[in-house]
Amino acid sequence: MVNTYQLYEKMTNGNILLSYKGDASKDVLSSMLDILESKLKESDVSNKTKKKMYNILVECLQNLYHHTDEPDPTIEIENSSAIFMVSRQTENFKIFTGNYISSNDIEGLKERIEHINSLDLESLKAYHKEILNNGQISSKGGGGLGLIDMRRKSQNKLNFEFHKVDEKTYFFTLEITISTNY
Amino acid sequence: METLNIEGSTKTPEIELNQESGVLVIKGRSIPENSVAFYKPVIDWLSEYESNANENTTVNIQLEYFNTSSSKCILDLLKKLEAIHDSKSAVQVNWHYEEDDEDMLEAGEDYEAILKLPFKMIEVKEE
Repeated sequence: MVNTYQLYEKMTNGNILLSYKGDASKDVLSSMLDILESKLKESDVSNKTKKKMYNILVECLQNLYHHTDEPDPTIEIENSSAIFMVSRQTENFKIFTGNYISSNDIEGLKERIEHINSLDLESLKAYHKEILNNGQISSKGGGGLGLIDMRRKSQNKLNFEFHKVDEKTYFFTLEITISTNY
Repeated sequence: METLNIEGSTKTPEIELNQESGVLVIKGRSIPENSVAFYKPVIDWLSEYESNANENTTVNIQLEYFNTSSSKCILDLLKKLEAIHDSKSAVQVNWHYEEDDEDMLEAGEDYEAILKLPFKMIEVKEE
């Protein structure tokens, strides 16, 4: 049994604003967005930082939602829930997300993020324009615009990892750092 | 043509498309999970507007936030207006952004660079 007080201390020392593990349903994600919006409102950071944070939070949460909304049929994990966490240090906010992903998709996703990370902000602006203008949009999402937007608005590289669960399934984690000093 | 009125919500913007005045307003937050479904009536209305366009069309976009799936829909609706610009209607886009919101200004400039439409960037004071 986990000691509740130890867990509480851990979350306090890690400056966790919110932490969630479970199903990424629309209602749950909307509630988390509301909670974080009110926490941001009360925080001492500039409006510019608040807006950047809110925008990136929306993209992160909707990414998780779209994975849950239409789970990949090749993933056979029984409880395919997601993780979502936000922390605040002096200089940075950090957003952490994690969800299951089919092994078929990791190569493509890895290439996309590495490409986005390799671009400077000017090239990223051009790349965004290209995808916005020519990319396909599904009923679900912005056709890859979300990751570009996170990178542009945070002006930081996206940290990511794939953890192998079994032959068909990986756990994909994403970490985004947003400066508190905009 | 009937005016299209959609009330705003915490996730979707207020919409008012008026053929008689030629004024189209999109205002508030646009962060729906399914943007394509939300913007469908707007795109449909604009398709009809193409053959009933007012001599002048003013598009007032004043968004506090919009997600990337909305950004694609907004481009689609502006492209509809681009198609009638000059030939059927003089279209003017007024892109509003809150002071210091450089990301929102930049988003407007991105659209301006893609489209052959006159844009005016309007700074609004924070509430």
